[in-house]
Amino acid sequence: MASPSIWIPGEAKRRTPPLAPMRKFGKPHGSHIDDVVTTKQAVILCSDCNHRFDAKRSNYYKDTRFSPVVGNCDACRVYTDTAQLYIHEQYLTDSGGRSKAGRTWIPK
Amino acid sequence: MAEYYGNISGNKTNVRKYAVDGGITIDAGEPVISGVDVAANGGATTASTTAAAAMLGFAIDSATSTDAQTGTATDNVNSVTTIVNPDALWRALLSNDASDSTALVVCSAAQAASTDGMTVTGCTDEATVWGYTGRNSGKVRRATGAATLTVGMPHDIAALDTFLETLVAPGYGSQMATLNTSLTQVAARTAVATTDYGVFELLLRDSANDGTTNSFAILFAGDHAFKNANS
Repeated sequence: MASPSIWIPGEAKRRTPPLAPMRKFGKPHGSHIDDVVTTKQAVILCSDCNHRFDAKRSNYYKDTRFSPVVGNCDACRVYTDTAQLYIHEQYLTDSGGRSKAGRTWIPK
Repeated sequence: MAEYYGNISGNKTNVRKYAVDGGITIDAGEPVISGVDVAANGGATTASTTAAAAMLGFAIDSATSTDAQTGTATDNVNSVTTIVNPDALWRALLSNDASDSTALVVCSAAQAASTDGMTVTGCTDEATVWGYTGRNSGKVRRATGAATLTVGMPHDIAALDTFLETLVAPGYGSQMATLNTSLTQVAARTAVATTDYGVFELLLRDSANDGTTNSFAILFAGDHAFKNANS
């Protein structure tokens, strides 16, 4: 009798990740991030993908007050509790958003 | 616009992206409720000014979805990024009425002197009253009746001192908040006993700190979809 699975083995973790909302199956990571940036929505990135995102060029603010956050990486879709959250600057009070409390997100 | 303030527990912030129901626009700072099995909605949707049953959280960005295909490579459904911690806190500006950013109005511009500090002209029963100008600036008390406080102000009230009030108060089930039509601010002088916007704390300020336009309520979800999950 097969023992009940209570732990996700490494093999299962390497399988195709589940579909993510609003993401076309098979779409490359960077292409999907471009789509998210186009809509100015929040970007969630795991520690492996984080360094690949140029937040300043995209006019995003890297939140550090509530970092890290828990969520699915927008690039590789892995569920992690060490993700970095980026907020588009339109949701901050002023351009750059570092001098005042944010409109939606309070910068550090 | 409501702003994320942190979690009661101090746990990590949990961020999820939910597909928005067709024909719905959710703006940043608005509460997001589950549309699943509710009036056959096709996704997350907006709440009302007094009701947010099965709340998923508050949005930190904006999204719009349409029922019809867009006819382009663009998806007609968008997702809204939501902070889903059941104990998440949100800071919302206290507005005098249902319009956004209306400065709070003093209880009375013709305050009479009160040597026992118990009488605030024009204040409402069960209101939270705080000094705006005068020796009692920044002091907060509760009202037990119109123009009467539960506990007296620490100093004598002089004629023409001014006070502010709000009818929302911390504590689930007592004097919970009614949101403005934008769903991002609190109508400070409207209180509803049965609502889904609990008040965790009030951040009140006096005249030295622009209290009429710079006072806030810290809100939490009274009926969260994940309320049975450990936060």
